[in-house]
Amino acid sequence: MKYRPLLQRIALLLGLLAAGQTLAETPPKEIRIGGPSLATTGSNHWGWGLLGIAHSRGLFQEEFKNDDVSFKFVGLNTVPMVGEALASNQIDFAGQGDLISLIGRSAGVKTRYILPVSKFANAYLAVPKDSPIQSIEDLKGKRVAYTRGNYVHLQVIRILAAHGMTEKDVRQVNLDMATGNTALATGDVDAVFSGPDLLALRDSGVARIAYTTRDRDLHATAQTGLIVRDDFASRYPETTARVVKVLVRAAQWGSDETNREQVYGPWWSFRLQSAIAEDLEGRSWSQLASPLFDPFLVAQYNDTYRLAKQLRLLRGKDFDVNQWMDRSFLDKALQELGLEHHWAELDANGDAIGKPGA
Amino acid sequence: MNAIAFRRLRRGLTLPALLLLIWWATYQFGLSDSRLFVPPGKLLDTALNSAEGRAIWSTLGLSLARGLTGLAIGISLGLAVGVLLGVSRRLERFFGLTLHSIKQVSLFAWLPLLTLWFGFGESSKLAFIAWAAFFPVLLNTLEGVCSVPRELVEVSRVSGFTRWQTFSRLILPSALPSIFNGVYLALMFAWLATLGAEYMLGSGDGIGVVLMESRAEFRIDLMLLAIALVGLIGFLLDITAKALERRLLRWRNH
Amino acid sequence: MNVSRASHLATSVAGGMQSPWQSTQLKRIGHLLWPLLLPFSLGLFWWLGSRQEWVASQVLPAPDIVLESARDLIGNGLLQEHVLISLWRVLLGFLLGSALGLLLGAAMGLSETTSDYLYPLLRLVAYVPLLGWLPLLMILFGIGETLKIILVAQAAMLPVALNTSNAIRAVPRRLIEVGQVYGFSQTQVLTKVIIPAAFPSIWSSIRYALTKSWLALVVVELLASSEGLGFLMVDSRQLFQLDVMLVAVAAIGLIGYLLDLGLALVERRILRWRRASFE
Repeated sequence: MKYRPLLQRIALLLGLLAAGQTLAETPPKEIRIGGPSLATTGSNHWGWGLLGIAHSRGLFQEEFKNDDVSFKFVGLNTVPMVGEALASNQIDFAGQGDLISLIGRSAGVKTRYILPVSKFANAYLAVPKDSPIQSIEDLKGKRVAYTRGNYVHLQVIRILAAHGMTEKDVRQVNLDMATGNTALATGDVDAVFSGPDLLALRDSGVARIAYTTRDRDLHATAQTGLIVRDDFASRYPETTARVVKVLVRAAQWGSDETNREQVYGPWWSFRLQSAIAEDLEGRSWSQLASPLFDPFLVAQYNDTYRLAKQLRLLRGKDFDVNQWMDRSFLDKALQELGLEHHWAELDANGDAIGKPGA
Repeated sequence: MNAIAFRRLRRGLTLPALLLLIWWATYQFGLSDSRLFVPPGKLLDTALNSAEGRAIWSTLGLSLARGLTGLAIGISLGLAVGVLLGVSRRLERFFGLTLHSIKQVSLFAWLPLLTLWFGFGESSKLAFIAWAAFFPVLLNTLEGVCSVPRELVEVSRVSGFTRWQTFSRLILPSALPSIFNGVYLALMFAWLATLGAEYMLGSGDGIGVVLMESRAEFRIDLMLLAIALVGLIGFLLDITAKALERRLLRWRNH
Repeated sequence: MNVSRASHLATSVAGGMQSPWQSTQLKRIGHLLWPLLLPFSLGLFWWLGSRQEWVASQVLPAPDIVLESARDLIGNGLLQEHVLISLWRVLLGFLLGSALGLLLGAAMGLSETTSDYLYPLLRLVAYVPLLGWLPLLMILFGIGETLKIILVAQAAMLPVALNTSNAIRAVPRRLIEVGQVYGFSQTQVLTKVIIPAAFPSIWSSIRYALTKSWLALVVVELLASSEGLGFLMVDSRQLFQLDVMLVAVAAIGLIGYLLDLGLALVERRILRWRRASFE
């Protein structure tokens, strides 16, 4: 067509304008990302999942090396502090488990969910070696240690529900990970629900694993995500997109099977790498580190919302989870990095839809 | 050392020595299979030779610095406010009700609110320690200043003392014993609050963190060492305060 | 009020002047209201702050929301449950600890030998703050009721024991000698001279011990519990229900106040008895 050169020129102009827009936003002087400081991580390390990978490989600083930006990685002592820090404007981004991020949003904290950080986290139930407890039903009336509000909490609810029980059927004891494990060893609690750290406890000969979601129930696994404050995302959309891009890069690196051994540490714990290796065996990193908002993820979050609402854990007005999840930043990052087909989407049952691209 | 003092020392050391002996014997003769029993020798060994043992001293220093800073803030504020409320009836009635109600709220109940107001870093720990020290000093200073007999104050006024002179020559010296009571309490609460802040707001370093971690990792030797060091600091703070009091009282009696 | 007085008031108010009686009345009202000004303004500030969103409402909920949560908790009995559990623990631990403390303190105060042996050990233990002992106690006693009672008892026992001992030894020799001159037996010296003289100091250490006991209980419930006010504080915080947490904080404060009040009442009763026994 004879208008092609003109169209091309207009396209070029528009492209330049767009680029100009991109360069127009000055990122803030300091970007603060917060997450719970996991007892298992060890000092000098921060984060888990995609955040852990990005932090340990310095990807944040690399992306922003030409800008006058410093990153502050805040490790908060307990899970509730993360929500409070986000609500009171002390951090801009937070890594949070599914349940607590929904609770926060329901309480009125204006946030957006912009990226999954880790998927398919398994829960384990540990009991003393000589305990008579063999199944979930045996937990009725027993003292069970787990922390409410963190990502394990919801898994516990789901596991109990799948066996016809509720939280009221067990005596929950609120102990942090270390205290809980010690309490199991001394017989102060009858069982502990937690993550792969319990595998290390089993290896030390103190406990045995009575139940796990691994290989059993995909829907009882936990997902965590990156939450951003709404006003930050509105004010610095470009910066937010770049942060997401950093994490997508981290996901790309983490999904590469040749890196498999090196991912264990930053993914969850440098100290307990063999435990994680065992926990994640049988699932490809490509699935674990997938940053996609696939139907499985969305269905999980919607189900979490429903469950939490039913249990009166969400106290505010109803809101639409799908609206709260903002995938625009991810889509942009995938496009910029050319990774749109790098990962397979999983449908609501966890089965792959089609195949990942080359 | 004369005979009586020597006997006192000997007696005082008996029980601790006995406990140590029982401890050593339990380990040596395998009387208990609890993982609790580290031989006393191991304790010393950890203290002097291991990496953690060496690190513990700097950690202790960190906690101490933190505690002393909070303590200083709390004491100065407590003194200032205590004196102010003591000399001004009006102010005392203004703040009195609120203060006496607030003082009932147990110290650790303030923790979550403090993190909301001071963030999650060092400042909330310092605020917590300062708060713990503030109240005892405030209340005792107030009591000390108020308990100066009215007649004495009037006599000094009549004798031509200025406001300032009444204060510095009469009120302050006679309030000193009460003030020091407050300071002793503040010392104790501040050191307690330092540990508490480190347990609860654990991000960072400190002897409290060592205590918690050593329990989690079943390192009883480290834990006992940390306990001993914590007690040592408590002891040092106490004798420092006592020495200070003696010095100040001597000045007062001139 | 008769007509002339009324008209006098009317004219003086209209004229901007006040009668002496009026100004005294106003002053009295002002005087009474003065202490309430600060709490009231703080409350107002809080209400405004949450209304205007100076602080996120999730982080500092509005006063009316907190009140509503309080009503809910009382309504479904949850608050009472936790309060009773905490109260039970603190009272048991406090009574055990202070009783033991009185016994030990009296023994040390009356017998120099006992004091020589025991006092240094107790003093050493006292130099380590409560929380310093907690990890060790957790390992020794687990995390159940025993731990809590023992920690609370320890918190109460140490100050009482040490202060009782000091108070008894601080009773001036002269007083004891006077009693002996009067032909008092040992018991009489104890009950009529020593105890009354040492009482104020001992009592204040008991009141202090109660404060420490309450403090200790709150701490241990924060760290290792499944019921009680401290637990309620932690649990509600973990579920981002800071209004419930504030209710727990208020309850902790209120209980602390009531416990102290209880002791004050007991003190008054004892003083009355003392006075009676001397008449």
